[in-house]
Amino acid sequence: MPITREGIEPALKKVRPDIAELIPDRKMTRIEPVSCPGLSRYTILSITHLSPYKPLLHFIGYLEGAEAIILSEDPEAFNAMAKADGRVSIASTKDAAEYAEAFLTVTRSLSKATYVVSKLADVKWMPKLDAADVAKREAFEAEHGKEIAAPKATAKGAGFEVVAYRVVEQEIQLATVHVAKDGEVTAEFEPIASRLPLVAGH
Amino acid sequence: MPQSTRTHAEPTKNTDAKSARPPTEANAEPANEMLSLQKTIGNQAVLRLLDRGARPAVVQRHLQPTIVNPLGKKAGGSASLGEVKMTDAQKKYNKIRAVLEKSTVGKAALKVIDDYKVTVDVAAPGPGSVFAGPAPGKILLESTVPVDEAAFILVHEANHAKASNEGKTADVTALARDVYVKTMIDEETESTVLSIQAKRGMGFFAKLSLNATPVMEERYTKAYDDAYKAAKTAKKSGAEAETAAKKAAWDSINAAFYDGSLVTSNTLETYGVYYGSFWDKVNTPPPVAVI
Repeated sequence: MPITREGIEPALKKVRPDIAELIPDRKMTRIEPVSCPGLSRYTILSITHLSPYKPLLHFIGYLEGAEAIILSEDPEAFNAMAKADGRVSIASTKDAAEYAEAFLTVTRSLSKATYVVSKLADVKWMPKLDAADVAKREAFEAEHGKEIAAPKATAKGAGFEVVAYRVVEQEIQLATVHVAKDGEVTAEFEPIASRLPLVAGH
Repeated sequence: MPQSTRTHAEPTKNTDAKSARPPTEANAEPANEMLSLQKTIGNQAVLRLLDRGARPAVVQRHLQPTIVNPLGKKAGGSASLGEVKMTDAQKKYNKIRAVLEKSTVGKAALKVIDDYKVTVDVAAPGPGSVFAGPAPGKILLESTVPVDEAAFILVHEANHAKASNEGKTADVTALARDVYVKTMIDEETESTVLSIQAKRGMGFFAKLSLNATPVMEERYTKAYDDAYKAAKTAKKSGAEAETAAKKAAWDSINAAFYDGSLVTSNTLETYGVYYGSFWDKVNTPPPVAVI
């Protein structure tokens, strides 16, 4: 059954009426599915509303007829969605890596510039670096340039371990994401470089 | 950009041509304040004081949003002082106000909120904090943001509230695209600068006790200091140097909104691109939506 705004709005009404009221606005509110393998019944949706001062962004887990699950900045809600889905199956390292990337993307901080990077070129450096900042950039690239890669999974125990890299404002972190076959996720983050001249979120 | 900074002792307005050290907006003479305190209570006690100031602020979380009366009046209105029971949100809002009472710019932001009766919700679910119009409007501060950080965000959003209540916010339906984008970025720049000045205007020890850095503070400080020193080298008076420094700092923050140094924290767009797309959405027919 196709996902419709008429279905999404009531799913949000109780849990987040402020988001629900954005849904009918087809002009200023964009709703898009977020790719996430393994989910059987739920779909992850990004809801972007253009408001005058800054965009508003929300991620939700949606199942028609059920109350929406607000995933933004909330890793526990992601696991609650997997549990509520009831039929999540992560069967391959490829799916595990994509599932972990979806987890990192939709539960990330939305108040700080936070993004998963797949290669060195994805790191957003400040424009117009001075000599000291250029030195910091070059030192980082020399030490970690070859290390930065797309999320990669290996089978471990009863599930998978995914290694990914993400930027949080001026810090680059190594994320280790444990993905169970039923979709439960835990994650640890370790800074590999801080105080870098990277773009700031606001 | 590194966000952790310590402000060094800076003189206030000083027309002595020998001094090229740029002032902050603070009235305090921090070096003298420090020396005086060291003489009074000793070096070790000062060190202990500084250590205490470095502790992280308490983060308060609230499961449900709570609307706080912007005037800070107690709920119910008629209870005597001994009977007042503040919610966690009210306590947090009072702490935010106390932080802002320590500087002229902070006080001005509070005055805007009080004069225009802007509602402040310090327990908004977020993500993010925002001013929501129309006037008088609401300032929504995400509940997970600690007090000091929330204080600087409040100054920023109060400037949007001021513009909205005074009819100065750019009208997306009336202005040409480029004029709209420029006007919005100018307002965003002013909001960001005021937030930084709210901190710079605090006394030395008030600043030390803070655990938050306004966005782009380091960039502002560098531009300010460089311009101040250049003006002093050119034999300008202290007042002229300060004016030039403030302008250079404002211009530097303004440029950050265009050149990609500063992006929207959630969608990672430059503000120039974002405001342009906002204008496009409002002024052009919508494309067919995916959903």
